Amino acid sequence: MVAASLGFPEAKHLDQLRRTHLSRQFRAELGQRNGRIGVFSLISHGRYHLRYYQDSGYRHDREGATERPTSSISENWESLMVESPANTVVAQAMDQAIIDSLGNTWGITQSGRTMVNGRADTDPAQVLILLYVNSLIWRQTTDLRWHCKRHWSDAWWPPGGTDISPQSGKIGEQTGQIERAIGQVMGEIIACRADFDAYKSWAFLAMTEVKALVSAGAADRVAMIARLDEILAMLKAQATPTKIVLDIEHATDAKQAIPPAEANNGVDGNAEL
Amino acid sequence: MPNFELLDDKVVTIPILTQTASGTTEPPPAGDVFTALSSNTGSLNAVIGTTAAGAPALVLNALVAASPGLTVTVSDSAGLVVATQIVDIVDDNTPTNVVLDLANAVSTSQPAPTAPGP
Repeated sequence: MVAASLGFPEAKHLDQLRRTHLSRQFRAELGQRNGRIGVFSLISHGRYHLRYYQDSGYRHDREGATERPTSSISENWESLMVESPANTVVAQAMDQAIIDSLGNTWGITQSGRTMVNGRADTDPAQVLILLYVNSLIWRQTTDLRWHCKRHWSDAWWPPGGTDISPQSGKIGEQTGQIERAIGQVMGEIIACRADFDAYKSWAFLAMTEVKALVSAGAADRVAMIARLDEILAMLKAQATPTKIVLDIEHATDAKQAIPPAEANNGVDGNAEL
Repeated sequence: MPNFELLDDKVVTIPILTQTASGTTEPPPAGDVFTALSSNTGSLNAVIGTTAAGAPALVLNALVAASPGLTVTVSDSAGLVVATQIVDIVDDNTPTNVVLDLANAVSTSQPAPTAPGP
């Protein structure tokens, strides 16, 4: 779409550029200058690789330059990094990628790992698909559980994953408005390191209340904060029990089938008068 | 915590709860497995069973008529703080039926009846 608006010959060339920088192990960004679309590839500090596209294909423009690519792009180039639309899905066998709101490119390596800007994620989990929902990258691993992150440097969350698809918009048994909340999850995360599956209940709170609750180390652990129509919904994690208690007050009893041996104090037999 | 009196002719089912440090009752962690241990397996039988509702429970029954000061301990696979309860096995003195104490019967004389029996 962007390529067409710039008069770029064919939109498929833009896809080709994306695939190209996906295959490289460095950060890349699309940009345009003087009607040309180019790829900036950051190689190392202060050095970058620039390619630009002409009607007939690639041509090296500069390589190993010492200009700072970010300033160069901001001053002279217009970024064309196009954020993937919501619900973009990338499977392992697909030669496609997700571009997040920050311009990072997400894909899946041949070995099944998540790949960011051409670099395999350190997490060895085997990934089936990647899904882009509300500026979050969700991955479904081979155990069919979902994890998400916003920034490539973040840890995948929740730690144990969840079996609720972010596309389904459901969290466990919650219904109604909460279903809508998941679609906007993490607009602003306050705390989200508790066990996602062990949720207990939702509460709708003002931002200041949530912050106070979290900073105070509230007894109700926070599993997740979701934004719902400018109202924050807090998912309380189920508290972890620490001790075992016998509920003697509610004990029940039944007649023992085989009484213990004891002296027979009763008198039996016929009495003769 | 008072001793629990276990009547020798009863099988008692005691629900097992798990609580937070603040005393709030919470379900046990998923997959948690409880274990019961009697201090004297010859006198007190302690096993893990379920309540009528299917919740985990400690099931106790006496193997002797009376034995004070026994201990039963419930632990779990999640490593929660164990529950310990002292159990006194006591003879069930609750009257349940009427008996005639023939051994202690006393008799006094009366004139012999003239009517033939029965």
